[in-house]
Amino acid sequence: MYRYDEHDQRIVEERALQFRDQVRRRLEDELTEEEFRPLRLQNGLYLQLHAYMLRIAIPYGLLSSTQLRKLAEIARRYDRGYAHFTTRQNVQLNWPALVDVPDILDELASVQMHAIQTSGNCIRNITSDPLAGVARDELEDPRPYCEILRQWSTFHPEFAHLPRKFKIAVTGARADRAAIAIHDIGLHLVADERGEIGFEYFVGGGLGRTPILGERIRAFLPKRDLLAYTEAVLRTYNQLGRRDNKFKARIKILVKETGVEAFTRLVEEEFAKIDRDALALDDAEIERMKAHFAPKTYPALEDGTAAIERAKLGKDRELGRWLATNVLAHRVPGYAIVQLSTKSRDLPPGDVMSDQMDAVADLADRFGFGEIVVTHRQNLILPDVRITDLPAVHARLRELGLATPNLDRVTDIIACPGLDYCDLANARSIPIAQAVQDRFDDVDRVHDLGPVTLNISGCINACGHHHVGNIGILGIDKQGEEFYQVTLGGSAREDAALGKVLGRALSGDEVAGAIERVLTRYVALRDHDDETFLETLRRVGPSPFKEAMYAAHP
Amino acid sequence: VTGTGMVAGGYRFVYTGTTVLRSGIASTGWAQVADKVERTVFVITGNRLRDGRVVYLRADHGWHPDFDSAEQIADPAARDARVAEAQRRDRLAVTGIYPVDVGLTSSGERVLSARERLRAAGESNVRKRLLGID
Repeated sequence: MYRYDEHDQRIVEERALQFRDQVRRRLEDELTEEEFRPLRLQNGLYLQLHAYMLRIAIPYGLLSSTQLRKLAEIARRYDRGYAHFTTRQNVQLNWPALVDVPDILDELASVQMHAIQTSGNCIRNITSDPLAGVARDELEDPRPYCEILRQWSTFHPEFAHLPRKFKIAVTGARADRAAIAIHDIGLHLVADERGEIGFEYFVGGGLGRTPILGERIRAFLPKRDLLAYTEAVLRTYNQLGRRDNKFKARIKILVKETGVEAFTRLVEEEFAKIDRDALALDDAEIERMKAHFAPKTYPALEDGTAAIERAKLGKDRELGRWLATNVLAHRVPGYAIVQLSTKSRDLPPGDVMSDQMDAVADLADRFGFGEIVVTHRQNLILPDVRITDLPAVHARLRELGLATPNLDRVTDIIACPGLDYCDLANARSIPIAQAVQDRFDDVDRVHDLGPVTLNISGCINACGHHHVGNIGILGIDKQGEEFYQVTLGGSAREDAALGKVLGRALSGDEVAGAIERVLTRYVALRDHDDETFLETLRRVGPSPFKEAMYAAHP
Repeated sequence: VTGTGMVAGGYRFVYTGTTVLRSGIASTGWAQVADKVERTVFVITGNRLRDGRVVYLRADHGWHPDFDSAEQIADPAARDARVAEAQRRDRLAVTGIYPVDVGLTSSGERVLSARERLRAAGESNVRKRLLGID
């Protein structure tokens, strides 16, 4: 993984020092709250419903075991012993005291972490495929390009005050596990007809109040032009994006109102004016960055696929189920990718206790190369586990409560913090997630339902990606009370789609039952056992599901 | 009347004090329907500057985490004056100061929006129970 050089280290240390002085000035009445607010937000520090919230950047979701242990220590020492992993592959502390945040930033800097650009109208954390580097369907590892973009965008003076926040995702695989269609810029590494690898370039995706899927503006962008072209996109947006209306300020609105062809023309005109050589990514720079992500030295092992297949059908049903749902094929024979589910009845989605973080860091060291990946579905990944070690890893994860065999199943719920925490939320997400967990407590039933994504957002800002859940749940406010709108048909994958609202909003205690009726109807309607919920919905349309959802309680 | 869903004209959900609030939110998360709101009073709230915790303004100008200790202000003009005064006087102690509407029913129940109920309750009981925090 990327290791800071002296320049990087100085940046994060100086930033922590600056914030320490800013906090002092606020507490000593040298800064008003109005003056202080943008300074704290630039360091990822929000004031939420009950307390401050610190959002810490995890570039493209990649953590070292040392960094994860530090997060555990910070959460234990300065917070309430847990942290919340987000749909932006970041992590949030929900209870830090303002007076402690300078110390927390120092602690983070000591392990090459920070909270820079995790808030504000700037380029946010670059996200990526959580299987980057180990996926079998990967054309090229996207992380060197994520890191190049991270360095280019950090403190970029021209893009520090964009019309709104700006999110970039990069994937290098055939399957889209980075949800590139719902990002301001989505990049997909592809090969052209000569075999040269470059970027398929999408712009203008996003969720929130106006959900829109990104549009392709370049079928193939050579790697050398990545920064120059991205600068052209950002300049076009910075000049023409609406600053008069917060709800129309994202680039998706500019692309929509301008029209994709006209917008593309504007970008190309800007691109033509830019000094491309000055921003060119030459081969040496790319190779320099790639060296940080060079494939590890995997001791040669026998292919263990047959052993996994046998174990899936073996006597240990719990292990078998876990292997079937939470373990993925690795590009190197003899190794496997292990997904840790944070979705159980014990904790809210995405929450991980300090003790669990320490234990996961130990597992990463013992059964891998000391790396952990955060997924945008709020789970964790151990990317390099030997197949022969899988039973031992499963046993330990089971003890830790991180082995729920439910990846990509109905109980693998994405949920934002909602009104339990968030100042913007209209309704709580966590109790809804818990009610669905309780409703689908039968492992066999969860498996019979097959892959289905259920995403919950506590407000229209859509941090829980409800628009792209196969089932989406949106918390709304009706006269000061919490209600929930259900959408069906969304997808964040390569078949990206936005869900459609089924009908009237439900009260909180109606939701889990309604979801159960929808999925019971799916089982009755599916063509065969392998037809997924989304496939059935696309085949038969929403009507039978709407009828089921609003049917009287049994 | 108890219920969980639709809000009909004039009827809101109720916060009836810390004990009921806690049990209500822990059991189902969805509160009870109140009697009709007869009049509205106001309390002043904000977040403590040093640690962000929710606090309420008492009649003695002190700030306290307990909603029940908050001064109830009947007059909108007095409410606005109290907010302005607190923003000036307590700027180094409390931030984000604003008034909260509190509906009063004929039976004396106090009615808050879901947001303000949750602020008053502190960390939600769902999470408290899951995390084993009392």
